[in-house]
Amino acid sequence: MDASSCARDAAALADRVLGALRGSGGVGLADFLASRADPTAGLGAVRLVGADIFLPHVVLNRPLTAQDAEVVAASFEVFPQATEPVAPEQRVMAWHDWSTARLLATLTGDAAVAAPDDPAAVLGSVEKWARWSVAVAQLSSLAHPGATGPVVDAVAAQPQALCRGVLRAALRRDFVIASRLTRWVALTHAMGVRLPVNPVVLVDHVALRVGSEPRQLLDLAVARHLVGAP
Amino acid sequence: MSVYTPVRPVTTPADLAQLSKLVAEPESTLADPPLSTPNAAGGGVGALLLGLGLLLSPPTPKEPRR
Repeated sequence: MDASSCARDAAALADRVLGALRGSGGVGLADFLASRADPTAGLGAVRLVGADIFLPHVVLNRPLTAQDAEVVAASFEVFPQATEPVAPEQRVMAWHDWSTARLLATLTGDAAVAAPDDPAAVLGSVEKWARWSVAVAQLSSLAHPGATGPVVDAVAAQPQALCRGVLRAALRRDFVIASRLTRWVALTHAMGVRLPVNPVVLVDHVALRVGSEPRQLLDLAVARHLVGAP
Repeated sequence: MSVYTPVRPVTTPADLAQLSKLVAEPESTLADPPLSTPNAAGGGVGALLLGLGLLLSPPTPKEPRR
């Protein structure tokens, strides 16, 4: 699989999700995959965008078609989940996949999926908040409207470290990390946690600087929805 | 019957590792903003430069006696 093809396909898929959130219809995963030159990269893109492919179903209550569910299931067949994640990337991937599989099971009515392991193993120590916040950013697909689970609880319990992380990312002008953390800040705000930053001002600040990359625009669309901003 | 392709693509462990790296995308390699350092940290160099300046500077001119 060509990593750059997979990243390009993920951007195209995120753009479809954005369009669906704006009311252009469904994501059309089967149609998306049929339009890809490399089906492996296309299925990789489905896994890379992860639970975000279900945002129109979560936010707008759209039903998931059997064809789209089959595409997600096929992505898990082609790229099997790590049974015993060891490396940091594998741990992130395990939680990212858990979020996708969990939403798929919710939407299809299948049995619930077991969580990978202790969230502290993937997030690390909050004392090292800079590194902790990068791990939180890597798990941004877990921060969707109505999200629950061990990682959500662990992040919501550390509002100061989360806000330090997003401000550090903005100061470093790393708006990939900043947009992902903004999404977590918005979710934490929506959960009723008091934060040392104003989430609406933060969303506006990052939105002016994030550029036109669809995956970051999707992060901000989720953040806007969570804070109730237009 | 599959809806997307008649044949399942075959992936290798390297493909999976690549996908994991894309999912766990690291932060950008920009350096952190410079942190302020206390003045004392540069005190040794400053004292040396001050000493050299005093040694190399011309002596204070004296007014000749009448």
